Amino acid sequence: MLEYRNVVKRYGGVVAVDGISVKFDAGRINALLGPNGSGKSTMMKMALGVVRPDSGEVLVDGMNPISDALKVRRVVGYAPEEIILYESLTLTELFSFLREVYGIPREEAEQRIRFLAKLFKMEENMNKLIGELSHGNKRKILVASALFHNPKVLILDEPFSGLDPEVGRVLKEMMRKYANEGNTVIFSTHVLEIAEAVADEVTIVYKGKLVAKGSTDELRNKVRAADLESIFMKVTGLESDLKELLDTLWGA
Amino acid sequence: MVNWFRISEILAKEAQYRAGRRTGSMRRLSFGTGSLLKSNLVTVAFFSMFSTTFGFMVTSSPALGLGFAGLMELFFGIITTAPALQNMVSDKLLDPLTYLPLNEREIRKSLLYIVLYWGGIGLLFIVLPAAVAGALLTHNLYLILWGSLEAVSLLLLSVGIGYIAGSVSPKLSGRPLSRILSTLAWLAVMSFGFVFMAVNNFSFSHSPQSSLKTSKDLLEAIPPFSFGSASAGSPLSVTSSLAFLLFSMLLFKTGADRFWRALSAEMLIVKPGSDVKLQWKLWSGPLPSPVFKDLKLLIRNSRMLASTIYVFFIPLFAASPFFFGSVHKLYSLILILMPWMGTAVGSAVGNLYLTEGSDSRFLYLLPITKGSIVRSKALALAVLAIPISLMYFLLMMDVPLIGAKVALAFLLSSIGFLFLDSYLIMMRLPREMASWSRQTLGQGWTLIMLLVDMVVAGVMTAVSLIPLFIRWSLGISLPLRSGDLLLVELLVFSAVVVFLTNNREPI
Ligand SMILES: Nc1ncnc2c1ncn2[C@@H]1O[C@H](COP(=O)(O)OP(=O)(O)OP(=O)(O)O)[C@@H](O)[C@H]1O
Ligand SMILES: [Mg+2]
Repeated sequence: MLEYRNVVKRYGGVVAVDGISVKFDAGRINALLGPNGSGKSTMMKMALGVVRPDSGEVLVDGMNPISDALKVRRVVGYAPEEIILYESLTLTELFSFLREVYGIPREEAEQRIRFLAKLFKMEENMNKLIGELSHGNKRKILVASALFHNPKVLILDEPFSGLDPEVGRVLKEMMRKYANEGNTVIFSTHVLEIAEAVADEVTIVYKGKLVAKGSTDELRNKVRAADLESIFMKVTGLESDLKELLDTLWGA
Repeated sequence: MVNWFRISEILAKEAQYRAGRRTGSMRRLSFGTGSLLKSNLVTVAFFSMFSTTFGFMVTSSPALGLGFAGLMELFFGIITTAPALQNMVSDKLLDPLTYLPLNEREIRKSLLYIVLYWGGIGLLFIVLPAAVAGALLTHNLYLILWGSLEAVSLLLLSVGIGYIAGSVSPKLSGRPLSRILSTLAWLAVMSFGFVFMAVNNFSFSHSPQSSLKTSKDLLEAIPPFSFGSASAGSPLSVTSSLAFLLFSMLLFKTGADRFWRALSAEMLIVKPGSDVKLQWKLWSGPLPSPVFKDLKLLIRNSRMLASTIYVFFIPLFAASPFFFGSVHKLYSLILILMPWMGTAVGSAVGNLYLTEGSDSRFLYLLPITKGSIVRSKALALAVLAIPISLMYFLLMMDVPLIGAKVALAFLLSSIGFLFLDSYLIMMRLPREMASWSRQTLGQGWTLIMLLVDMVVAGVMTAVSLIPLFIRWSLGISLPLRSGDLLLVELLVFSAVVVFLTNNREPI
């Protein structure tokens, strides 16, 4: 479970997260949506303690990511939005390192790597330097290393960007299975179709504030909109803005 | 129209930003009139002091005075510019610019400016003050002219060599052979100054009296020594100095071209590893895998590897007179030098932090304590110190007990200072995700680290000399001899440091 209690984060004059209180339940897939710069990545980083909230509290399984950083990082699997990896290590070397960091027994680790390599079609890349791989393949490694230690809370920041359709499909299945096993899964995306197809629960933030949360069906009834895109445009107030903009641009 | 000044400003800011030092106590990069000099103020002051002493040498022999100052400039020039330039390539600092329709000339100018900004200007002040001081003392104003020409041509030469070296070793290379070659190239670059000086030393000390005249003539024809004699109007020196200036300009041009091609990506294409192996095996050697990882990163970064090897061997070279000279009885003196050798080895741990580069951000995502990073970096180099300490033993085989003591002292001292320096660096790194680079640590910090090391080494040496002092002044022989006392000190020091640096905070 992952909970935000009245969390505020400022970067200089910019308020990236503006008093958000929200709870992501275990056993469900949560989509975190919002326009560019609305604070999604900042929220995710705060769950890992790499970004510190100015006020309010983040709780990961009841633990604080700042004061309990080591424990929290053991239960969280996080794949950042940017590719942050050791480019001059091979995949095998990376996993050797991670195995010891997380203290996973060798047998178990090997089994897990075999599983992940097969799942994400990385078997041919095990002995290549990560820097030599393509962008999508690097993204897969990020996701795989987030899954490696069997985290209770899985946080994926735009995991689908750059993945081919087949691997994208595999990832969706994986997330489903993972949530069904009682873990918390949170991911962000700009592709609303993916969110609609995968997520049990949708959370929409805008300008650092929470603007909607609920299952797609609940939101559809509440907002009276046909699909997630219309919901999104309505709750963020972007629809009227957009209409105005287009009217001016098109000169209607 | 974006001009080169603006571009260099952007590049410097980018380097700064990635280093995670946006705010805080770190010196702000401010471009503007005079800031080029201001940013080099410390080096200019330091080099000027140093250079003025060469000025006195100039009064007795312009060729030797300006010549040695020149060799210094070349040496410092190469060791400072080559790494800075290679950083730009390996950190892909210029990538965003290469996609833009910017004027190539402008970018090139800004690259040069940045090199000058990051310490290049200071180099001129190794030779200039010597020339000025010499000119004032001997009333020969031509010295200033030729000294300036020398300073400029050596600056061009060292930046040119820096460009070439900087464009060689891309960080990633799947091929062991090309890695070994580029490591050797870097070693050559780094030891260039030393080799040059050794050769000169040799030619001075070994020239018999009779041929002194001819060897002096010869020297006056060889740049950078020729510049000093050119001021006296010797035609041969004038010609050779001007030819050298021309050569430096050409090398600078060639180097800049090469570097430019490296930046425009052609040369940075990573050659894919040969065959696809489906077999894989998790690391299962004697070393913990974080240590193994740190060693791997080091091995795959030729420049850092070269600079580490270099630092490990300096103490050995420094001690070589004891092995090969006729001073056998002074073995225990080597023992007393060991804390100082340890400081050299210890400072190399910084290289391991620098090899992390922008990948260091990955560490912030993991459940790792600061102490465990301190330990794994220190241990990685301690592993490399083992063969060196064996070398000490082998070199002193004729007195096995002392050889063993020296080897042990080297190892203990290396471990102690590796942990100490590793800790000092770790504590300096930003708390929030950042790339680790020279900018992250800041120049002042390296100095502080060296200072701490020196104080520690100084205290240990001083304490170990107490028995010797007592015997000498009071005639009483203590049961514990100086060398043995030092060993005990080193043992305690390394144990205490290893224990105290085990910081349990998360990174
Ligand atoms: N390191 C930083 N320094 C300054 N401002 C930052 C920093 N990181 C984020 N911000 C600001 O915080 C706000 C929220 O950024 P964040 O990355 O969380 O948005 P996001 O919802 O993930 O956007 P996107 O969909 O584009 O990934 C933005 O206005 C951004 O400019
Ligand atoms: Mg984001």
